[in-house]
Amino acid sequence: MSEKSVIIIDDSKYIIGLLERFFIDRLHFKIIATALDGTDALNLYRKFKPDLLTLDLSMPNKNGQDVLKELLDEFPDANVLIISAIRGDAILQCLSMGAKGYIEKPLRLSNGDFVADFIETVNEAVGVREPPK
Amino acid sequence: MNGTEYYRTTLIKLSDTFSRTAIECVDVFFSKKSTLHMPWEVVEQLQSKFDLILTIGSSNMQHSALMYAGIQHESLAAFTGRDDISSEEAADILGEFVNTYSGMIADKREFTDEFGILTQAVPVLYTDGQSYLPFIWGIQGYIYVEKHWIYIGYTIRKNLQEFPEKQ
Repeated sequence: MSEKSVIIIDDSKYIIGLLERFFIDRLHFKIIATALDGTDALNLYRKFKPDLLTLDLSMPNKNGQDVLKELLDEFPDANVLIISAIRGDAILQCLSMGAKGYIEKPLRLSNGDFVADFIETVNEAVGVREPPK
Repeated sequence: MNGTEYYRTTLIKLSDTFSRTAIECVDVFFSKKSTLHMPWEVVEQLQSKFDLILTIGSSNMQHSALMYAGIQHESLAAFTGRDDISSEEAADILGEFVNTYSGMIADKREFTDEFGILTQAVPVLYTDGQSYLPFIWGIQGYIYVEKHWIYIGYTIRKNLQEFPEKQ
C-alpha cells in the first residue's frame, strides 16, 4: 500500500507535535505540511493535494468551519478530518458539510480504545479497508 | 430565584463536576496524576493575578462563560515535564489546556442539563499581570501535581439579551 499523506492544521504547536508523531508512528503517513492558522489551509491543499487534511475548528483569523466550506467548495472530494474540543452542533454541521470524520479532543493517545477509534476513523476517511481479523 | 442566585447555587451543585473534570483533564492532557488539597469554592469574583493567565470564552444563546487558568512560572515544569520551556511554548500548551477543559466541561451531562452546550472561542493569553474580571459568580480551585498547582476558575452568566431567532 502506498504511503498516505496528511496536512495538519491546528493553532497549537503542541497539538501539531502530538498529531505528527501519531500519524507517523501509528498510521505510517507522510506529513506534507502543518499550519497554525486556517488561512493557510486552502493554499496548502491546493499546492500538495494530500490524502487527508486534519482541521481544528477553534482558530484565530479563520475558523475551521469557514475553512471546511471553502475547501469543499473548491475540492468536493477532499478528505477532511475535524479534530477539535468543540462539542455540540458543530460536529453535525461539519459532517453534513462533507467532513469525513470527527475526533474529539483531548487526544487520549495513551488510551487503547481512543487510539483504535482514531485509526479506524482515519482509515475510513481516506478509504483504506482494514483486512478482516 | 433571581438570575444571580441561580448561577451561584448551580455552581455549588456542580462543584464536584468542575473539580473532577479538572483532575481528568490534567491526567489526559499532561499525563500527570493530580490531587485536590481542598474543595473548590464558589466566589463572587475569580482571582486574577498569576504569572501566566489563559482565558477562554464560550457561549450559547442563553449563557456566556469564561474559563480561566493561572499558573506561576516555577510550576510550569511540574505540569509540562520540561525544564526548558519558553514563555511562547507555555502559552501554547496552556491555551490548549483551557480549550480542552472548556470542551470537557461542556460535554458533561450534569453541566449541559443546566446550561446546554456552549461553543468556545479562541484562548487569550495574559502574562505577568492581572486580567480584568467582572464581579460575576464563579467557581475556583487549585489542582496540585506534587507541591505545584494550577489555578482554574469558571464563571458563567445569563446573556444580557438573548439573540433573536433567525427568521
